[in-house]
Amino acid sequence: MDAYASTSAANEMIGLGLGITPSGDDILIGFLAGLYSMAGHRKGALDFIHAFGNTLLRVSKETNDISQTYIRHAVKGEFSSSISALIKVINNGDEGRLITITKDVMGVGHSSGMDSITGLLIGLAVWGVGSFYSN
Amino acid sequence: MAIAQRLIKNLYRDSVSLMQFSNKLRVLDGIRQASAVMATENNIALLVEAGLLLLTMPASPNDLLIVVDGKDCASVEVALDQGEEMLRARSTELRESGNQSSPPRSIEMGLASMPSANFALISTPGEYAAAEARKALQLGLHVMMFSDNVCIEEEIQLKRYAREHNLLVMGPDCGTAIINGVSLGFANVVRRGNIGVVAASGTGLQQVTCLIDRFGGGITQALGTGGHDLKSEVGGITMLQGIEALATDSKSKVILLVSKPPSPDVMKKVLEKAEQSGKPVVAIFIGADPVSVTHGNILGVKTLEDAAVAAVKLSKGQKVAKFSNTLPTKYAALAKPSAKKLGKTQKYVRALFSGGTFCYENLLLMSEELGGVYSNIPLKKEYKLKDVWRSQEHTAIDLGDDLFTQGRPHPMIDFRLRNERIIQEAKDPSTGVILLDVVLGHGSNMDPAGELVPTILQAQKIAAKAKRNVVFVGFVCGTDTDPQNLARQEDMLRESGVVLTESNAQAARLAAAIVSGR
Repeated sequence: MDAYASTSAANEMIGLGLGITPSGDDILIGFLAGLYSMAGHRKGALDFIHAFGNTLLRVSKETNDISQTYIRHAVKGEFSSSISALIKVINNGDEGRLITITKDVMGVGHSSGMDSITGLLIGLAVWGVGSFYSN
Repeated sequence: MAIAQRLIKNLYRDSVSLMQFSNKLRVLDGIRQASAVMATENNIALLVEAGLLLLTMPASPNDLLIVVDGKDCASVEVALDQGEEMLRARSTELRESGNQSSPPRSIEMGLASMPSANFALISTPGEYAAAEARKALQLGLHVMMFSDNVCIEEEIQLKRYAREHNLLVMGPDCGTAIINGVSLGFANVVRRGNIGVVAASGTGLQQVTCLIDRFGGGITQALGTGGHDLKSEVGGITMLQGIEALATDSKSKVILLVSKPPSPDVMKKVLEKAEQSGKPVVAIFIGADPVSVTHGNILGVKTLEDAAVAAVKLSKGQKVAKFSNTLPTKYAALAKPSAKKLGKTQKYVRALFSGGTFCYENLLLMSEELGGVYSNIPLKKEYKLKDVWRSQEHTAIDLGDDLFTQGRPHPMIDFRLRNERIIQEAKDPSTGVILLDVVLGHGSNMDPAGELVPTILQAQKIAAKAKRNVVFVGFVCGTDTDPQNLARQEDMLRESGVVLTESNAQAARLAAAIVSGR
């Protein structure tokens, strides 16, 4: 992981935007959720998540206590029940329930849910669709 | 304009409440914008950049920061007080009962909740605008693209697709349109009538529609084509579609075309289409010789004002008299007394514009009378200002140019830059006349005269201290149905000593006459 790049990227987003959990924080949390969804048990991926998680913990001082708490949990792989349900549905390939669960997440807060999903999609894309089956 | 903020320590309110709170403050008297955000470093930086906070402030991310932007100190303070009260009240009182379904997040979702819509207005940063326009077109919607910085290849693709599907793309870089009586973007509230307008210039559209209204006529539709439509590569696709649409519209009896002169191949196509319409067409290609345009049912004119006069006459079935291209006597009479006020050193006109097309028309007309006029958008390279922040001899500047608007709202909304420049010109002993355009309508500042008058008075004081009189010439582009009160705006300006004309063309000629008559 490029420590410098990831720190400056996280710095730009932390605490940024509308909402009690500013949009930038929700995107970063969703991003972690996406990474966790794709990491499986691969050591390389988990190391990356660990390193990025540390960056986030440092940078999260710049946002409010509520976001900091969510971030602290997300770094450990613990997410809200609606996001956890979405991760599960993605991991199980459960296309039938994907739409319903996604709508649940979208409805959270004013934009929290949408922002989390945005981050999630980016996190899912990091290692690509195919990479889950390689290594 | 006034901005103010309040920091409420350690206050948490959920996001939905914060959104509703902003909406409630925005409808208060005199309030333009209101937001409540967590006082994180990034949010504070963003607000400073947006001009809603003057300085960064010590705050904890757990604090709530309210910023309000309104017409004066009194109304923003009232809003802040009410806002703080609202927030401190029990959060359940802020929630509205009923449907909490998510607001639409895409054009497709928007269409689902308003299936009868046939039009989408897109105003996103340029890099996303083409994709959004394509989505709208594929959903069968006509599109207006307020966004600029869309590359020409994308514009061409969008317009070809639209043409194949009988849809209109107004833009990119289309800031003004009036569709079925609804003003979009920077547009005025104009009487309905039987003149149809197609314009490649926003302020050009505003000037002709406002003058049509002033001269007793009205419009059916005012279509914008965007600033690049008439380039060779685009080929005038939207202008041609616009002319065709107005040709087949039974309510439009006269067609009025507004733009800078297109490239010859596009000009040919446009004139052919205009001829085929079978209706009287008035064409103002600003800078082109009207004689080269006039043919058959097409009348070429020299100024935006002449275009409006001609269109109204034709719309009433009257003949259009030859245009004199000189200053009307009522203004010529004002030129002499104003000229007498100027001292030996005060030789020059300093024209400060918020509308780019106004600046352009001014350059054409003033150059005819005065010789070279310097500008940031000069007619000839040798008259480009060495430093756009300093006037040279006769100068006319477009303050809406990117050079001036980086990180700031447009000068039709935010008068700070123009006011600073007015003072600078007043301090310059070679300034004789300061010329200003004042644009009303939706999208413009709520009280342009209120923004300008204190500065005009201050400028006159500064000049008076140095034993000079600076003459102010201006015009108001607006109608009496615009949200700002036209009569009051004109009165306020006159009372502060501004010599008002009805149009940009007359203001240009009057300013030139005054400095020439010294």
